[in-house]
Amino acid sequence: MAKILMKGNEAIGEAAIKAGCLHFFGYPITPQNELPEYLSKRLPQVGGRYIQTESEVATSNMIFGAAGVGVRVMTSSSSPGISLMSEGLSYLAGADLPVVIVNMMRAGPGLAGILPAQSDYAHATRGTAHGDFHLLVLAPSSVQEAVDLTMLSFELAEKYRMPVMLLGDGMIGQMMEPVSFPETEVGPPMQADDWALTGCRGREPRLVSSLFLDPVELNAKNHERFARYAVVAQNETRYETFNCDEPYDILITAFGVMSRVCKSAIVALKEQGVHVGMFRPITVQPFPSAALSEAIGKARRVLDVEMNMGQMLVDVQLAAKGRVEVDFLGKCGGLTPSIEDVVEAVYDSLTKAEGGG
Amino acid sequence: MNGQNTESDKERENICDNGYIVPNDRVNIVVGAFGSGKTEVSVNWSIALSAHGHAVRLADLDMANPYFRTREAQQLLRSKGVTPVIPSGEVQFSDLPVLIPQIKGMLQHVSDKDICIFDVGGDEPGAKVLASLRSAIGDTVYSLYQVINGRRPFTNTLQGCIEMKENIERVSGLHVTNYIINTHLMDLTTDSIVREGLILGENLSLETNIPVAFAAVMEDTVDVVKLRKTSRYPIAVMKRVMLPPWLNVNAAQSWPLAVAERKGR
Repeated sequence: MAKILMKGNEAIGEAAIKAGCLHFFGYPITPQNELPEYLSKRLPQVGGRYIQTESEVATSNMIFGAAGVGVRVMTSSSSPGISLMSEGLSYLAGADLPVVIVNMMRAGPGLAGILPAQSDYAHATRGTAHGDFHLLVLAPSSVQEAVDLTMLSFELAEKYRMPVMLLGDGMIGQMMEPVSFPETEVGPPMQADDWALTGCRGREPRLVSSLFLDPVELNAKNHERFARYAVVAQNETRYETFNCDEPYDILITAFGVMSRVCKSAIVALKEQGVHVGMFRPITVQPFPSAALSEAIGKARRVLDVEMNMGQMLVDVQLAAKGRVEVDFLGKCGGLTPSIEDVVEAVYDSLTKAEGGG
Repeated sequence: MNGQNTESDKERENICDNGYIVPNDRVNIVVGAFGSGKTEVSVNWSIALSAHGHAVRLADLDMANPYFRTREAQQLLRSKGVTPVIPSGEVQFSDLPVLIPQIKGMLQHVSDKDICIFDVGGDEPGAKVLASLRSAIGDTVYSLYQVINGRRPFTNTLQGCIEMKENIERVSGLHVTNYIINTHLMDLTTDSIVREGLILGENLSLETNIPVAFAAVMEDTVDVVKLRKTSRYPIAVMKRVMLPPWLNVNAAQSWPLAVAERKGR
């Protein structure tokens, strides 16, 4: 298929259709509006359904219903809207339902700003809602990767029966890059014959619910789910390294679009004879701790760069296991650390590594 | 133009150094699909006209999308002698429908020497702002340019471009008077992609009987000299203005060194 120029938001919408997702429910919020806008045009063309909900609370329950009857479904929102969905996300996880949720993060907390930020890392990876559960969270850094990870999201959601979140930011959503898609117009429907509510004629009735009043049953259920999470962590952690084949003094950690600024900084630093590697988690939940730990083992010091106040920083510190110090560079509110900011922070880290700090 | 102006053919020959036309009308409104390149075209065109000796005001009427708007280029515009007309204060970072009073003034009291360019938001939602300005436009003669990138969804076919035109005309109550061809794939743009866009523009022009004003290409993506030899339309060369932070390397070559010196290394 010929390459086409798309915004991340639009491209994720098209990728969902290619993955066979023909159902979208969502409520408008900047900076992800192009995604529902795109699907409201495209879904009717391919026999799908687009519904603008009355709120994000309704959205999270509607995707529960759709997934419960074995239909591939997606929603998208941005930070405050995702917060509103929190209760529903916990129910989805508790009922083991495969759905894909897109969060195009904006600056927080509160209503805050509409410019890009990575302010919901902690929310996506740890504090999504009440109860013992995880989402599987994928963080793309380019529009093409957003396409690829959207398609992967549906696959993983269904394979492991869990909600998957695509964690982008306003930049990923709004910027345009050339992308290509698989030739298929619409992917095949979801295979959920063995659990979904498809009509019980000729078989025992099923129940899709997150209510388990029997403590023994609930305990067993949660243990089973976490055993599944362990398999996910074993099989599905993804990451990218940059400039790590040669020895490096400083290791930068960054996720999403922030990593692209860091790459530009690393290239600029290389010309000055400063050796810096970069580690970018693609799955931020499960976090690629073992691989990062190994990469940190070759560095004198680590610099974590984020568009927030230091949220992935905790995971990086855990992976460092106290062997080296982890410095932090962060901007938020809609600002992005510039190439120069990163270069400067690397020099600071180097000075500290040499005992000058 | 506006369907009634024919004495201006000569003026249309008037082309700035880097291929931009000098418009006949003082009021020039730029519309098009989301992401068709309205802002890149408007900013570059304004700068070219300013360099050509015109007083240029560029109004940001994009209320549909809070990212990659003209307001992000305001410093550059001022440095090039273009007057940006944008909301001031923190509201400029919002997605609120803020229409500042200067806009109506630009539409109603345009001096003969002044060229005004209005960068409108994308698709029909973006063009809606023009409906609210219709009374201000009144019988002012205007040119309405539809920017077309044939490598964008929904405008990659002749029919798609016509639908986009009709939708924008329906909500704005104005009529497209010219096309600006801007078919590209960013840094993957090739000569053949640009040519494919020129053919789409030509077919669109024939089908709708609306002329192409010019075609815009980003510098360093195609062979402009070769293109100009074969193209029947002026080829305007743009510099990329809306850069993501990882490409913002204006002074990158000297940065590490400058930082190193500052750090006493």
